Amino acid sequence: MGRYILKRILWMIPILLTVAILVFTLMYFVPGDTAQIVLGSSATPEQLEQYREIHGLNAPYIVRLGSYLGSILHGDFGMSYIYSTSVTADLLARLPRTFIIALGTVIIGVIVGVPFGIWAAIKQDTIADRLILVTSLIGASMPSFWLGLMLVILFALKLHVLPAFGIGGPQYYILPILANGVAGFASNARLARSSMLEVVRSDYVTTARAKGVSERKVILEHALPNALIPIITSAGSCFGMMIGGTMVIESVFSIPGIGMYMTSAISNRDYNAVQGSVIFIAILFSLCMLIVDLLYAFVDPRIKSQYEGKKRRKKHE
Amino acid sequence: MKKRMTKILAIGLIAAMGTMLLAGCGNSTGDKGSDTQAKSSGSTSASDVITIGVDSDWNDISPFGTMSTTRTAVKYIFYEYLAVRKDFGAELEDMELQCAKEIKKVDDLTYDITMYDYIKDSEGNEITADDYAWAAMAMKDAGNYEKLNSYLESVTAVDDYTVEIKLSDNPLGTIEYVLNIVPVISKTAYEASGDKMASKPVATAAYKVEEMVPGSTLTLVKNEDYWQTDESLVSAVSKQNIDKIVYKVVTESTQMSTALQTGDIDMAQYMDTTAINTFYADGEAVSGYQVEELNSNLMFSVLPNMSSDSILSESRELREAIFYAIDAESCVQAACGGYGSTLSAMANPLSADYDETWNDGDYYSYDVDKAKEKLEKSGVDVSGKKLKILTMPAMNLDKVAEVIQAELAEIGIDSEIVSVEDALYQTYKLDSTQFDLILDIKGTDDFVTFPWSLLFDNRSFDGETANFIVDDTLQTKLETALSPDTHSQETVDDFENYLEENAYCYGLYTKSLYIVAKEGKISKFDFLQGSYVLPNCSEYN
Repeated sequence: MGRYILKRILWMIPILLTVAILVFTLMYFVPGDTAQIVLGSSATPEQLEQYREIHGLNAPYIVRLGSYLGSILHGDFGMSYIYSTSVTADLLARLPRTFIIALGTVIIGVIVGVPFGIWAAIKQDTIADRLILVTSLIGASMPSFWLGLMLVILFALKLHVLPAFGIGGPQYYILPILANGVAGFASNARLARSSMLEVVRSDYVTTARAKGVSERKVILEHALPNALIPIITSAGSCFGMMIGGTMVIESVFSIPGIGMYMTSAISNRDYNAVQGSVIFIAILFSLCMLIVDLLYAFVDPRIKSQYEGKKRRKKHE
Repeated sequence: MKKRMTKILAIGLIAAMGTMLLAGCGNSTGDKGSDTQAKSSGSTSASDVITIGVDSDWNDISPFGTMSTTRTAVKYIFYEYLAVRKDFGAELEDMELQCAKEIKKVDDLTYDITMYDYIKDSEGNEITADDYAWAAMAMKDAGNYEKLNSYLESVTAVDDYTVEIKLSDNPLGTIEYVLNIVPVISKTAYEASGDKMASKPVATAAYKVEEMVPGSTLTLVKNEDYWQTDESLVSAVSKQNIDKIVYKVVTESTQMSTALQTGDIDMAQYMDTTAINTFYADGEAVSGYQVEELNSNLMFSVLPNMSSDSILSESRELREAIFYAIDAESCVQAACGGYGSTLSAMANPLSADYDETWNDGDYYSYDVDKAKEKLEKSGVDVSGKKLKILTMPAMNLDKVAEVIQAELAEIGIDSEIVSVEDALYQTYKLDSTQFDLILDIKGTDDFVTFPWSLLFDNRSFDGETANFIVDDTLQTKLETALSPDTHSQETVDDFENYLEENAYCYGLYTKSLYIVAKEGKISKFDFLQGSYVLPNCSEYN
């Protein structure tokens, strides 16, 4: 198992390196002179040249790439051209807000969506099943920004129980999480239902039932662990993607998270901020996927046995 | 048991769906008469606090940061200057003196300014002429301010409290611009801040920054140790009429409207025109709200590419044909739902030297027949040619481009829209091969000559204008209009007429801005340069 974890961690290195090189190269070849963009059209050639010199923009591609990769290794994504602040510090300051939204969204998706999906599968073709299916279909079809605005109208404008936007106490995150979480709930419920339906029809579940095991035990101990495998993968990647910025929700609720930071950086052609954000997101996403894979290994006995089997075979040899 | 569970589930789902429907049925226009005093749990309003919603982030609030509307709206509250232009076009003698005690003109390009000898920032750092000289040159070197780049030669400390400002040229309004744009700060405090004062500047003004959360809030509180203790010398921009000013970033227009209705904010600066109907109807504020309609200092225009790379340089009639084919009213509709005004010259009516007689002239009045006639007269064969219209999505400029494209098609001119994001737009507009027509936005600083200098002064563009015009007469007329010695209604008219005669550009429209506040809190708004609310100087009930 240790080897599996080590292997997965080592895999992250070439992935992140590739992402860093790709992002840097893309930004390097995007048309537009950074100095001209920052200094404006009336900047003199001397001022432009001075700016390029100060920011190392005159150096050849390979030199700039090398220097950039070196800085990343030290956890330094450079300075934002627009904010004049450290990109690393900016991202770290914004991370907790995005993290709360992402975590809340995934929790709603898993805690609410999965039990509903399982219940729908157990009660297949009943009213409960159909209601859950219809609800999840509606949830999946509603754009989060629209739902967000509807929730604001109801809870902030009409009922006056929750704030409409901004950051502050936990109450500020309820509406954004709800707006974002409904889609997660819907997709998890549908995924859990189909996954469970597949498992409850398998031979080993039929065997368990034939042996007189109680239905509760059949579902919770035999069927559920296997049904959870695709759900964990889906929830993990969903969380990873949301850590990368819940751009729409952050914009609707004016939450200064990573998504809003990156949107602003892209529109202002703030190269360092864009590059830093993408790589930062890639690191977080990779970490999420690592955790998912580790969970996967714990839930799926085939992975565990694969590595333990190899160990045993080596011993025999 | 199973039946009971099914029932509970069904009821739960129905309730959830009902909630969605109930929320969906609500619309903002239906709440005009709702209880406007009700507050949500996130409200910060109190009698000594004003909470203002702003529609964009100020990026950073450092003294030398890039220019933006939101930044300008806040920086005069916590930075102090040598002198401030409270109104558009205020000349030197009409400026509000802040840190300057006396301003003396030595010659056409040199000014000596004596500062007060007791200026201190909120951390107690004494500020001298050396600090100001350093700040001015640091701001110039930061390169974010076009006019400083072009005209500020040097600033040196003559003695502890006197600075000498030298200009390389002195077009109209330049010294006023320098005095009004360079903040008076302490070099020591700046260097000690660690982030170039990007998040917590050390204030010299009547308010100081209590907290700034990038992209979210900016909280300013009264500076109890404000250096100017002589009340008779406090400038009209430095009043302390309220204890605390909280700015909240609300980028989404529906949210801004909701926030005002729920009491999360006391005032919206500015309310987007898509949401203004809730608060403003038939030219009047809806009951429960105060609305101030202002003209934006931005001016939207069309510039033809006058280089040999474009066929538009070949014929004045062709350019006129294009301008007559464009319906500026439709552009206003596309850009801001009709909440704006068409222009009667390449000038914003906000400017101090705007000539009212321009409003009576025929400024490319929309006339398709005339446009077709001009096109025919031009003799330029446009068949098979596609004009490139350079635009960007910001401020609905891409929608304006679509309107223009359709209108050009009416007179038989085929065109394509090159819509690029802002950064690429800034690059493409310097490249004569990238466009034939460009939709441009320019801010009006004080005089009509300011946007002209940014667009047509060939000293800034290597011998040509922003749209590649090479015309010595144009330059001579511009310099005459720009020079403080020769600036007059006649010289301004002369330049504007010359632009029109040669169809060098077409001023399209300006937008209206709306400041909306809850009734009962503010008794009188006070403004800086006609567009920015000064909450510290406004009067409260």
